[in-house]
Amino acid sequence: MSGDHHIDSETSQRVRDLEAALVDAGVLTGEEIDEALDRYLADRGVVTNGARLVARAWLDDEFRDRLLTDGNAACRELGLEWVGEEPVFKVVANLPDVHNVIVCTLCSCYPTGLLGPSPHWYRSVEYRARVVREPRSVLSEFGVDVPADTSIEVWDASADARYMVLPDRPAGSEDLTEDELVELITVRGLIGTALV
Amino acid sequence: METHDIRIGSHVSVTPPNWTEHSRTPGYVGDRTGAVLDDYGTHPLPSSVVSGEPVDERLFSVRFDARDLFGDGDHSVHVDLYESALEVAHER
Repeated sequence: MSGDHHIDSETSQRVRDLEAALVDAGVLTGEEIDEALDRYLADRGVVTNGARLVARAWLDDEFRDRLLTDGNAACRELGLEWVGEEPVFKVVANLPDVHNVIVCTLCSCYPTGLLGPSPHWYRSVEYRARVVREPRSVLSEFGVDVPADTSIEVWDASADARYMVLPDRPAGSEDLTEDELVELITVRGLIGTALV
Repeated sequence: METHDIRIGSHVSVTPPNWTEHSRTPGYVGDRTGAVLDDYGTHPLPSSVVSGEPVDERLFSVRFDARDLFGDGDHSVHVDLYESALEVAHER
């Protein structure tokens, strides 16, 4: 989205100020903050955790049912481990007549422990305020034009549950292997601001 | 409050958030009515965590029509709400 750079720089400044205050007060050291970030970023492929769940669901209808019924159990089934405390994990499926999109209006709750840090726009005030109110317009700005007869379900991750979208399998992907399918899936697809 | 009646399928209305408490109830669902679609089990109520004496409460996923929240819109919004923020709505 355009226009979020200003919000971003304000937020960045606030985070830097908070970080400095915590270090000055002796609550945290800079090294501890870096270690915490490194734990999330060490495996740059964490987003493939989500893509792996999606690709398996596309290939295996029974796994798809289990993923949509109990996301936490489906993670364990594939050996995917959450970093830190594991929340309720709910996966919501896009269908030919249903498009899902995820937000946290109160802050920026996200399945970070499974997917890694959220994209910067997900944390922007503009996205959080607008996507619950006018999702069709916001999705259109992301290049996703949802047909008028497709219903939009917005999931506000406001408490102890975290969400991920199961995108619809794209046409033309019938012959791809699981690893090739994983490569197709983007973070935006898992949030709902892209079709895949 | 008749929170013991809340179950999947219940129509519920939302108590407006008390801004002095850490309720995690988004303001835009205050006084609105929605339908319970899922029961996420019990979790420590955020305000009780902040006070240092965690109390477990049931957490529900509630679906609202955008039209009921904002006056227009053809989409739905799902919000997770603790049982103390909800009352069974007898009339729609």
